Amino acid sequence: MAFRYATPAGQNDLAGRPNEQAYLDGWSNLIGRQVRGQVQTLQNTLGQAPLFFSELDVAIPAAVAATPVPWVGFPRPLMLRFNGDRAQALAEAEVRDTQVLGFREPALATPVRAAFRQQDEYLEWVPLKRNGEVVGFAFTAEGPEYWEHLASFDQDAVRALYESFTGRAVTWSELSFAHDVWVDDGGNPVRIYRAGDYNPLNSVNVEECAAHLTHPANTLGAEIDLAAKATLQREDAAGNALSERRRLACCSNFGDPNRNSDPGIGLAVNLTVRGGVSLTLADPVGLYILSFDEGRIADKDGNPLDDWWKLTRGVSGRGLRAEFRPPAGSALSIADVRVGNDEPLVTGGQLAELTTMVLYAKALPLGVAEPPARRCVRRCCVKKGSAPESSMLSHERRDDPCPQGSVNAFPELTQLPITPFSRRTMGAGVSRHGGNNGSDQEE
Amino acid sequence: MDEPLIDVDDLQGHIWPGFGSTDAVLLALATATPEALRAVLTVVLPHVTTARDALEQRAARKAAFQAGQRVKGEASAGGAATNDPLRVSVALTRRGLDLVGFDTERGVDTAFDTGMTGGGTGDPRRELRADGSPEPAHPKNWVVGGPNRPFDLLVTFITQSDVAACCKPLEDQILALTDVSVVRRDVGEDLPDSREHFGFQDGISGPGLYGEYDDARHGRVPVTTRHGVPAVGGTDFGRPGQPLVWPGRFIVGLPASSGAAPTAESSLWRNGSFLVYRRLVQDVRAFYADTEAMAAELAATVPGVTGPQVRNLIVGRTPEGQSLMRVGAGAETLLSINHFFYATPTPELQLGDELVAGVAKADVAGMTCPFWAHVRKVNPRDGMNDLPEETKNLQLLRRGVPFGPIYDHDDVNAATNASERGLLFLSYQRRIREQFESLSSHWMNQFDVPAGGGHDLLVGQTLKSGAFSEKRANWPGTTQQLVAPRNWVSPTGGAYLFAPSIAALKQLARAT
Repeated sequence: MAFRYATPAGQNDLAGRPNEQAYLDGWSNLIGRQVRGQVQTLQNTLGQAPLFFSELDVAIPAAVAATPVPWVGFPRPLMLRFNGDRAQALAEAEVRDTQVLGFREPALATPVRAAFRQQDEYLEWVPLKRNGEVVGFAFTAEGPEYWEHLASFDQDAVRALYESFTGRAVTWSELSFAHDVWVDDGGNPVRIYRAGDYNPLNSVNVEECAAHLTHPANTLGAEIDLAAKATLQREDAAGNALSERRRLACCSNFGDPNRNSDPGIGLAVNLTVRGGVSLTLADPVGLYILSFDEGRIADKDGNPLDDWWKLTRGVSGRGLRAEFRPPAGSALSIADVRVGNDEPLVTGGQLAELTTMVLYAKALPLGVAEPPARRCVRRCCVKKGSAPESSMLSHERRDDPCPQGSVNAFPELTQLPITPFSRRTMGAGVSRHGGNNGSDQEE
Repeated sequence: MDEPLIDVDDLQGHIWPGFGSTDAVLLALATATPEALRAVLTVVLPHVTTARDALEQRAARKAAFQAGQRVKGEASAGGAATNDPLRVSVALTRRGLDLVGFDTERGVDTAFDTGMTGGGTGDPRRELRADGSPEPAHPKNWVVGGPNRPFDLLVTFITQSDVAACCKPLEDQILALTDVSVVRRDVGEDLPDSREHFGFQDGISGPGLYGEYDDARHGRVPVTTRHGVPAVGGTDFGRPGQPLVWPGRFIVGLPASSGAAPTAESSLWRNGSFLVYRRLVQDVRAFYADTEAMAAELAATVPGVTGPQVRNLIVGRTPEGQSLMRVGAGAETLLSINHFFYATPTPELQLGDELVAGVAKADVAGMTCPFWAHVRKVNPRDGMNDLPEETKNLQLLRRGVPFGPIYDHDDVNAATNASERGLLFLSYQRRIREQFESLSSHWMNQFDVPAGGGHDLLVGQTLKSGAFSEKRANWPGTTQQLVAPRNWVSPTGGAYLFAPSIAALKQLARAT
């Protein structure tokens, strides 16, 4: 049978329904288009076959194991924003940010704003409440693409899932746009949502049940883009290979160097393909909840809390949704939980710190010639006087100036060290590469 | 780059640079009154070794070794033993600090404020084993520390040899004080070749510090000798494999990264460090028996695998201390033994007269040294790390000492084999939760991190419903799993402490 991309964790929300096959085929096509699109982009950039491939085009022997790439689920950018003040970062993780999704009309006059969770390590959570009291926490790692895809086939299935998450009746009007949404596409207004379409940033998702991810950076598309671009080897201005995750992320055009996930994923992919090993994201493509460290939680008396953490969607090793709450019949409540060194459980972020996320890659030699290393296409800037390794970085194009008040975080990425010899013979800032090695065409 | 000036007259020498391979007496003391605690400090304070003293003693040991004089733990070239002064360090628990009136000074390290708990360390939650007997690793059953054996101070006496005789006068002075009692006295003794009780050379790897101090003879000098090792990925090195770390990762008040300003803690905390103490018992008989059985079971599907091979993979080094990455590189030197990366090839280095062999092949997939090998689990170096902090910044300043008689493998029924043996684990770090607990509870005790593939079979603790459960690890290149049926290393005591500066000790010793 021909290879098909499965839904994340193999979840089948339309099992037995008439449009099941179309929904599954459609998902495979969606992922396949994105992966193949990345392959083509890399091919165009490199002028040769890239080390990133699609399983639609290359069969992977069953013996090739999936390589896990883990990261911690609590957002590192919040820790950086608050200079390592954990209490402030935990509090801020519960505060919503907003984005402009588009506009209500083709004239692009009335913005459509939507709230989202500031939790950008591909893991998001909300407190679950009953009569205003926190009775648990729900965690999700599901991309919005899947839910929009599901809704395009069966709105009722989506609504039923929301009802199972919230424990109450949910109407479609709560989950959908009340009006069209238009965006500006190079001067032309384009409608991206119609009235009645599923709204991924509906308030039931954002505030009540965390049905799926909401942060603009938390998408499957971002994951595929990241993995593809990370297969390109990079070198600094002196021609040294990059093997430190933040420098690699700053040098490259993938992801956010401030996150925990993106730099780690990028480096893992980059190291794996060295020497000409081909790589793809393992099927089913997704971002998953891998594990939760139950050993770090207890009740007030230090007794273990069995079965408080449960996967409610997905499978072991590929969790899509999890909930943390007292098991049925327990006399304890969230107020009785202690985390780590006897810390009262107050926010889901404390549990996110104990949650390991994962994506899976598959790698094998396919006889593809390893492309030569490329110079940096981007760089990071850091506020003047701040330490790059523990401060928020801005990710800029290589030749753009740093924002006012900031300096080049890792000068060696894009500048040769200035020595009297180089200054006399070559001039300051001359790249070792001299001519264009194609890097300038990547963006 | 400007490196910070370290006040080596104010910093305790046990924190930095440490005292090398040594014997030690650890006295965990309880004091019934603030006056009693201050009296202990008053007795001990004149003897507390400063970092300057320790640096000078280290230089003297090095000179003596090079001159062929005998130094404990190192090959003898004849000659008399070196001058072996008594070194002293002291640290207080949160309870001790509260007792002398500093109970409102909190928040500098929250794990220290709470104290060592199972939630931080991964120690068992169930006081009783399945058979109803007390679980010795449960904090309530510990012989020192925990809720039932609390203490206020840990005084550590250290010498190169015969520490008990050396420290006796001072120890007697302390014990003569009113309202002071000994909760636990443990004697540690360095084993031959700096091995630990399972037979593996220990203490090879550790970070160096950025920072300088004023030396009377040489002016401003770095606290960590630079050997000309090229920087890699933004990391500078002292010796090969010794990454330089900003001193604020260990010492309160100093910068924790390049360009960072010193932090603003009060005088009580400045130039001090947080100390983790864990009294770890090692079951040598079980370690050898179990690993032989594990090898025998594995050999059915992985032909030729032996007990020594299994043990080497569990540790990540050979008993002689050679990294699995460097096997085949020949005899190791002080400069070569720690020269390796995991995720990238290790270049050859010319350091002075010595050509230090590199390692041609990287081990991205964990086939040469598994991700779960102890040394790779707690220090993945340039390899995958799931945590937000860089690996080098999670490292600890380890100062542990073995205790108990060496296990007699030739006569397994020897009477001494029934004695307790293990490691008095001591580490200094600035942030207990982010550093010590990340390495132990997060990495050692979990299967999937920092890079997946298995638990730390050597030292990790896995719990199921609060009780110990088996640990597993994937044998490289196969679908077979090693299963460790029990823990070979168990905690029987411990505490989180704070080692104040000399100035802070004086402040604490004074009545308010």
